[in-house]
Amino acid sequence: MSSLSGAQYEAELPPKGVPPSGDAAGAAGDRSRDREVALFLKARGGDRSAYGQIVVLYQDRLFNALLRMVGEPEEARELTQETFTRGLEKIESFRGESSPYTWLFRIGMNLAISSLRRSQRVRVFSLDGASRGGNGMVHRDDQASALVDRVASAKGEQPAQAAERRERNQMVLDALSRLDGEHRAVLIMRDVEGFDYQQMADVLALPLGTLKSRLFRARLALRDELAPYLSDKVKPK
Amino acid sequence: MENIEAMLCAYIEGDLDTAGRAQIEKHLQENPQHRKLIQELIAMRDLVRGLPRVKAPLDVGESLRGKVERSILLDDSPEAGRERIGGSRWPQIFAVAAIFLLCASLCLILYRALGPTLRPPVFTENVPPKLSPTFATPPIDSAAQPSIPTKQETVTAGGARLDDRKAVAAPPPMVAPGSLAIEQHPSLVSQAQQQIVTLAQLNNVEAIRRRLQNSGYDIANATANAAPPVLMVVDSTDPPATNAQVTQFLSNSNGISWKRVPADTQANSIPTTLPSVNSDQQMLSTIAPRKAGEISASAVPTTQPASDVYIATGFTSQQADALRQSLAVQQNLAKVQVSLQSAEVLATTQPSAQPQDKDQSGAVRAGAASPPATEPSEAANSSADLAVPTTSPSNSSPGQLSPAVLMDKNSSVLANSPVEVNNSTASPDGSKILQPVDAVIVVQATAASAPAPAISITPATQPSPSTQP
Repeated sequence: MSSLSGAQYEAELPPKGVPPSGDAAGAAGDRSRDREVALFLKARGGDRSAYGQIVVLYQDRLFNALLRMVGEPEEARELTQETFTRGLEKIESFRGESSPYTWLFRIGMNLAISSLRRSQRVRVFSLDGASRGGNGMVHRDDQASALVDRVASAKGEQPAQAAERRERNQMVLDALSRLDGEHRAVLIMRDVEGFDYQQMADVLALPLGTLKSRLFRARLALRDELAPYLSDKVKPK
Repeated sequence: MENIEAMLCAYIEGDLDTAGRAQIEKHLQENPQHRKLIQELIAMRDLVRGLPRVKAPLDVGESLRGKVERSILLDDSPEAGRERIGGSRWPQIFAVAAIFLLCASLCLILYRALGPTLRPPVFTENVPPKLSPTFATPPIDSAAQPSIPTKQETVTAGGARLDDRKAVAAPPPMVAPGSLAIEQHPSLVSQAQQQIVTLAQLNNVEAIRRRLQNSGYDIANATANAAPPVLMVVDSTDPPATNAQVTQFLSNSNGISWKRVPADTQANSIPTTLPSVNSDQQMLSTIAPRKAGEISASAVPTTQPASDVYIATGFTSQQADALRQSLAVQQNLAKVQVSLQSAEVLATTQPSAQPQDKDQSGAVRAGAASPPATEPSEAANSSADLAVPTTSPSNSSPGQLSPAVLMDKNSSVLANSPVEVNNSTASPDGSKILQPVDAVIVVQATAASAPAPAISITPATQPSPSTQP
């Protein structure tokens, strides 16, 4: 069970910024999916160690997606745990028709949307240092800050570049937090999680055409939110 | 529209087919502002994809994995493991059931422990002096009654009483007038009932007793109950109006069932002998402590109609007060005197037991103080009629007077007659306790409108002017 670590999972992540729909990623993705489906089937048959491996396999990815959805690390942690708990409760309903992660992600996304509807809060969160959260509380995202510093040092960025990148990311997160839940969900599934259209359609139970249209509108909404920043910072390619 | 948006989305994502891409690029060449928009949307996509990934906290999966591992060690059953991990609701159900059983058991214990207090309500009134004048007992003067032992007294070997002040002079707990209290002990009821027993002032006890028996009300049996009936004697100078008030009150009172005892037709028109006293003198005679020989009045032959008798069941102290108050607000100049006492005086079948004396002038001197009156119909029992029964519960002495309250037309309390209090009948908390009981209400006429009587009041402690030097 402990052989599946988060590091191993990160090695299996698709390349950043590239949707896993390409041919090269497709083969690796298929192998990974087959192994995950096998774990799920074992867990459904009563092999609880298999479900423990699933938890280790998906927890970082699921936590990241839920954090982008709700904006609060603590709430994202609770939602992640609740997602795994409900997944085990409902594992009998897993038919293997979709990816195991898609199946779990759907549970988590529904929980996140329900949580957003309950709270009706606008969240603003930061990747660096102390900042004001969406609920008005000042908190420090240590993990994100450490990650930013690590990536910055790895890239050999200058402090000014690192600061500019952190500012840009913060603007994007703020803009995401101001979007409604449906638009935020499709953007996170597509651009953060790297889902293909079919996976997104499975999670949202939408036709492909409707899904693409919603994704386009979500991008327009995000562009409207970031318009002041884009006019100054973003240079058209 | 949706197709165009889907095509533009696919163009941004880079997965549009060649024909579609050529069509879009041709349109963008003709519309530079659209090209700029598409470039901004692509930039948006890259910005979101460039967001860093955040790893889950260490404890995200630890607790869940811990549950899984524990389930592996404890039980191989997948259902059991799923229940442990998924948070089975059985513990919650058991907890709720346990709480419910605990509460039910506690309620049962309390019910068993406090069972006697859950019986029909028993009314408690504070003793003196602000309460109902009818029920209230005048304040106890500890200095005036030093010899009356109480339950709280402690007598030493040398005879010195300890804690006298506490036992005798301790004020009763303050209870709001008319407030209700739960009976603490059944025996207190009878004790408290005895507390209000005073001398009757009935004009014709035997006639009333006979009328009660004829109407089917067994007064002797009723007085043997735990809650014996009470006797309310209403002396009125205007009996018809008073009767109307009593009837109206009983009819309008909730919880009271009542009936009017038919009058004895043989007694209605036969003249009787009634002391001719005016109302003021009667009041004085009621107020002043009277002893045999102190009052000498000239009996003036007059005609006394039969008293009106009502039997009411479910009579409470509040209703007794209310009735007394309602009787006190007569609109005419009638004077009403109300006294309440135990109905055991009616159950006594030895009317001749009390001595009576007649002076030479024909005035009646009774052992008690009530104005004697006789009805010819009870001529055979005239001695009983004249001698007001002094049979009271065991703790009442013949010399006790009821706390009769005289009220004028404005319902103001004129005076309370002096009362000797037997503390042994008081409840431990100093209050009197009354249950809803039967009540025998007797409305009888007084001679307030009679001519000025030849009556002289000679207090025993004050010599008459003629005897003074």
